[in-house]
Amino acid sequence: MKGRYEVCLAGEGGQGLALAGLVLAEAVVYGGKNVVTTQSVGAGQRGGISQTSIIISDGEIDYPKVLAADLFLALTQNAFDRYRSDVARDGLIIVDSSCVEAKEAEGLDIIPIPLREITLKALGEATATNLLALGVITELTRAVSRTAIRDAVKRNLPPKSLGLNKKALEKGFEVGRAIRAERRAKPV
Amino acid sequence: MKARVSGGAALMQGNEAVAAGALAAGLGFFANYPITPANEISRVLSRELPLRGGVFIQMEDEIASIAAVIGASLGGLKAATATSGPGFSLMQENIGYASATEIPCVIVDVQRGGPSTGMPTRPSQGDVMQARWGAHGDHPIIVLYPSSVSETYELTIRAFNLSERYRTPVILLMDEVVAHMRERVMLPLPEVEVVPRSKPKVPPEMYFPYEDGDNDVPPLASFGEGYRYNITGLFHDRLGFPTLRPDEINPWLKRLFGKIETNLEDIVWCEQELIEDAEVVLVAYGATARSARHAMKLARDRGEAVGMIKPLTLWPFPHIESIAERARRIIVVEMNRGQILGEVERLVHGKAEVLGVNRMDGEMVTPLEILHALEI
Repeated sequence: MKGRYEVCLAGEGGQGLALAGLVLAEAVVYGGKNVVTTQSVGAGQRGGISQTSIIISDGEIDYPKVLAADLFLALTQNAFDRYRSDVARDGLIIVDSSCVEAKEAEGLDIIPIPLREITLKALGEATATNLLALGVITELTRAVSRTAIRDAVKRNLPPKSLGLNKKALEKGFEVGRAIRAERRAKPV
Repeated sequence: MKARVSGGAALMQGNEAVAAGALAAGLGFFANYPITPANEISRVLSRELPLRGGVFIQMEDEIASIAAVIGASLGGLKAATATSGPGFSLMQENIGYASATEIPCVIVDVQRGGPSTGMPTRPSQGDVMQARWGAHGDHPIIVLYPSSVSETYELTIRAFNLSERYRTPVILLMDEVVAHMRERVMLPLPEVEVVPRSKPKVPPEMYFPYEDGDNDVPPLASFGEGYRYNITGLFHDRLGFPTLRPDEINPWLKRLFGKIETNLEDIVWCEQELIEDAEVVLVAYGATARSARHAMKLARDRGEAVGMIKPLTLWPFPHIESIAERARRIIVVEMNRGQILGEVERLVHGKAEVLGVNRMDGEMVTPLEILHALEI
């Protein structure tokens, strides 16, 4: 479909990817585009694969799930193995290299980033890895503005942890910008 | 509901839209027992309904929930419950009771994989026939089925309206995809007409709760208003007392079914798209209608004459048989073993080829699977 951009966020139940997806989707709404987000989760609260689709479009969105992801984020090995085949040929894959071993093969565009380690180092704990990843995605896809994402984070995160999550998001923006600069400099 | 507003556009979840629609329709009483994937409905209503002077009760189980809903409705409140397959099974006896006693109520069933506890977090459309025939005995029923968040809001209000207008239980059937999907909607949500309950205009001694009235639907007096009458699930006379007399039963049955069957134009809502020149027509509802529409657009881009029909009223099922006069093939797309497929075959009666595209593994039917069926 024309103008359809598909994001697939996958990891383990409890990592906060549904929330990250909700924030991203809401930011898209602020930006004036159409969006549909759905989740696929296991029956348990924690553990098991948790996946969130965010479909962004200038027009109508019929099929609400991922057909071929333009952007795929994998926070766990299981999630990477389960959804890697759902990525578009020219899609971008971001894996948390702290937890996922992704061989650069099959012509896939994989960016390994130690998301969990970076979060741990920057904030002293890893619970906000989801927000750090969201910051990275925002910079790499440019589907939404940083301002829209910041607004959506403010509206959806509980006040108690807002400070920590905002810091993680800003750190993610920084990491994403650095990767973008690096990729531009790299000869194709 | 947390208002997620920006310049009129907001992100809303299907289950949240049920709660918003119920409140807009004038919901006064909600009783339920928690179950995935319907929980966000009660999460919102448990907070919002008491703030508006309504009553929210978490009951001990689903049987008690529907019983409380029927009682509250007789007390004069618009009443509803929400559940999923396992709870919906438990509610069937009392849904039949509400149908026979003609007490308005709305039952939301957010389907999940089944039978039994099945797949709590995965989508299914396996309760289509249960929604029609789950309660024993011949009985009329209205079942509505949305495929988007905004449709969910609109159909929820419509469910209450039809329930009040025809004194019947109405089932809002949903699937997990639409229930949990968050989608862009424009705020304020559209104004939808709200139908109030018709009350008796005669003094108590002249009131008969089961007597022919306007449009075959007699007004319903609330308990406590001084109108004394009997309520029973047994076949009853015009005052509500048990009867076995065919001369009393037959007119009652005629009216019970007639109030639905003579008002199909008001009750049945069915959308048709690009069927004028269609050689192949897709029939789909709920989340699968979204897969079908996606596939239809891809097929049209390839120059294939494909159209689609989306029933928003699933029961009574729309009279779609006229499409068989033009289309050579009808493809029914469902997340079940073909529960509507059989109904379409019955209507089309061999005048066109009828095929199904079906999945029951907790995954949506993809547009690609429908395109494959087009190529057969």
